[in-house]
Amino acid sequence: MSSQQFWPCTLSFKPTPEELRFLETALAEGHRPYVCEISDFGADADSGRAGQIVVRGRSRRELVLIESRKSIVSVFVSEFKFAADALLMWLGGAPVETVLEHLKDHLVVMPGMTSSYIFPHANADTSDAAAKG
Amino acid sequence: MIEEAPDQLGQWFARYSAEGDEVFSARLLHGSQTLEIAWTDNMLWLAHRIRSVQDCAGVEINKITGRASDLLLSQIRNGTFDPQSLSRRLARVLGGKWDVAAEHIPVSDDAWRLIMARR
Repeated sequence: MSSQQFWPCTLSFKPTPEELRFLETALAEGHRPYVCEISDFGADADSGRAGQIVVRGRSRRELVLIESRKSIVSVFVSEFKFAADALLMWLGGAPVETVLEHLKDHLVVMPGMTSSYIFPHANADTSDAAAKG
Repeated sequence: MIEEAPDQLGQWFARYSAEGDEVFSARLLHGSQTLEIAWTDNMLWLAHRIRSVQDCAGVEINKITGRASDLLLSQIRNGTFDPQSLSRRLARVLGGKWDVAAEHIPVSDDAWRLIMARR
């Protein structure tokens, strides 16, 4: 499944309480939350900001912050709920630095990586991911 | 390969390093032969890890999907990802013939996933 299923909708699985809270809160705050790619979550805001929470294991998640359809940063965190709270902050207009600060106690370094972050469009000298590539 | 607890959508499998890091995790979707890769630290070992899941589950896997990240995503973006090489590796380890494609996910301009399907 690659297409987005915008909430509210019937899902092929029962969302966890944290997942349901994310969907309902994002909707209540005026965003467009969705589920895609089996069990990834995301939401779009009218501001042009968006984000996705990608499954990276049973508990770990990759939070992708998007602005004007470009990925700004990917952050790897230990649990869905931390990614969800951070995504709601981002959609609400918080600066990226504030969002990352909020996540600082919940970061994980995925095996094969040297950092919890990927800045896909950063200069090579400011990005571990770029250096790896 | 360790068989982990299932969730609503499928059976989880994981491989751990000697240090205890979860270097590979994937979910075999219930009632299907589709494996969703959540993470692998090394694409060169991917085919062997899929073979291990297949052996552990006793199911012939015929479709594999995974959202690209980090180095693989960089390779797809800059055009250096070689689907033919991965296709050959899957065929060598899993048998049969495999189609491998990077598919754009329309949530942003730079979101991609890999789809590997047995012919």
